[in-house]
Amino acid sequence: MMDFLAVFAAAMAAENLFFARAFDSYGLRELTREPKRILVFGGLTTAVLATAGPIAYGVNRLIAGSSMYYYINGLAHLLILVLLFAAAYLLLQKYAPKVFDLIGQYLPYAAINCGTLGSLLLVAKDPDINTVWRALAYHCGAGVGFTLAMLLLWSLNRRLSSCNAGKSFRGFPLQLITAGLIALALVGLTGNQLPA
Amino acid sequence: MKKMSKRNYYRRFLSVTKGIFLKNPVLTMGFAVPFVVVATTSLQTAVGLSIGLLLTLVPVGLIMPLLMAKIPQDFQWVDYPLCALIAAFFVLPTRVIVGNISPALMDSVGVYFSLLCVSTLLFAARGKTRKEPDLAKVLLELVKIWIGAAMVLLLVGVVREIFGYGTLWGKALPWVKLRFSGVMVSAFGFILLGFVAALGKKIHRTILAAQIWTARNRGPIKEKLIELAHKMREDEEETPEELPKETVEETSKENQGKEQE
Repeated sequence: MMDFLAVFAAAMAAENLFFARAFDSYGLRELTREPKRILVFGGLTTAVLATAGPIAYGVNRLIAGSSMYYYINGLAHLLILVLLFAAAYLLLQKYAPKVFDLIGQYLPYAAINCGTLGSLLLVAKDPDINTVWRALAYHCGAGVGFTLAMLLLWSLNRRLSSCNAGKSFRGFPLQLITAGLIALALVGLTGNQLPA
Repeated sequence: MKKMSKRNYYRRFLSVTKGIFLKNPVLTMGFAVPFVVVATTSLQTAVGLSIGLLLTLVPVGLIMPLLMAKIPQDFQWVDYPLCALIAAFFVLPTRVIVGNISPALMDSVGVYFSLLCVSTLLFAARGKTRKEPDLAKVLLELVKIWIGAAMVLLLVGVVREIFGYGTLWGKALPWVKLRFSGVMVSAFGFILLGFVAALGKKIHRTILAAQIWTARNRGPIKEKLIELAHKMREDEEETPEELPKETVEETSKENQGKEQE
């Protein structure tokens, strides 16, 4: 259990998908406009990662010995996300139309993006994540961390919009610089030696 | 008439280069941020990623409208995953091409090269070109988007390589005495991109202000002056500080309350 929590916390804070890796989805500007959108997005991304993570772990073990691994790695993981998205889309549309109406428009963007694919690829590459539980913990932590990062950015953006910043810095530039300063604080936890 | 056209050079330039300078996909829309912020640590990685973007963005952008025209209305929801899958197939040969140019580059870029197939830039381009029947226009739009993104990638790559390694394209620069390893972390990438975005806005605002100043000092062309002022205001409204008015009012009220206390 402690192992699970340690990996979860590391993925959520120290190796945060947004601040440490800069993985985004749906465009940073669009995503951080309203908290409801962030929560739906973050919830969906976490759910997709938690479901796809263990499957990807198994698939990765199967193809790891292949001579073509270097080339098919990305494609195989993307295929898992695409199949998961298609299954979720069709099942929700048929059996839970009310839920589908609520989240249907966000589902493709939340399921297939830099954050989800990047997280799967990083776990596939990391020799320390060598059990299904660790993989699950990493993906759950990554999803929650991404949601919290977006909420933090939204909140800061809201406050910064009323402050007296230079006209050229208002909006997106200030949002990026703020993200950079938070990322700088997180670098203190990990050092600057994250594996690419 | 000639005077009018001279003053409109900048506006015409902006409309022709829309997507490169005006509404740059990275600096104003926030697309392809991971590649600029983390993966671009040198000029070589910037060139490699730019080639990768070109070889995925353009073919996918051209294939998708043709393919979507054949897919029935009920199955139009497949366009998003289909776009990613087609891009992933184009990433495979691109990986070989870029790997042949510089084998070390693939190691330094890491997983980010595989992420080209799910780049927000790709999906944004797909959204822009999906209903355009003219392939020549689609191609032009895609090339503009690519130039806009590549320009930022190259700029960030050059700055980070000079200040991080003291080199340019791997060649040592003797005039660079100090090296900062910190410029390679994502935090610096965010900050640098923020400053580049602000610089772009500043240049744009300065040129518009200079146009107004020139118009004011060249005689009675009040209409022209008003038009330019409107243009400037529109451009400012297009910038991302479009928070709901209520939110801004609430926050300023909170601030006022705190000040009074």
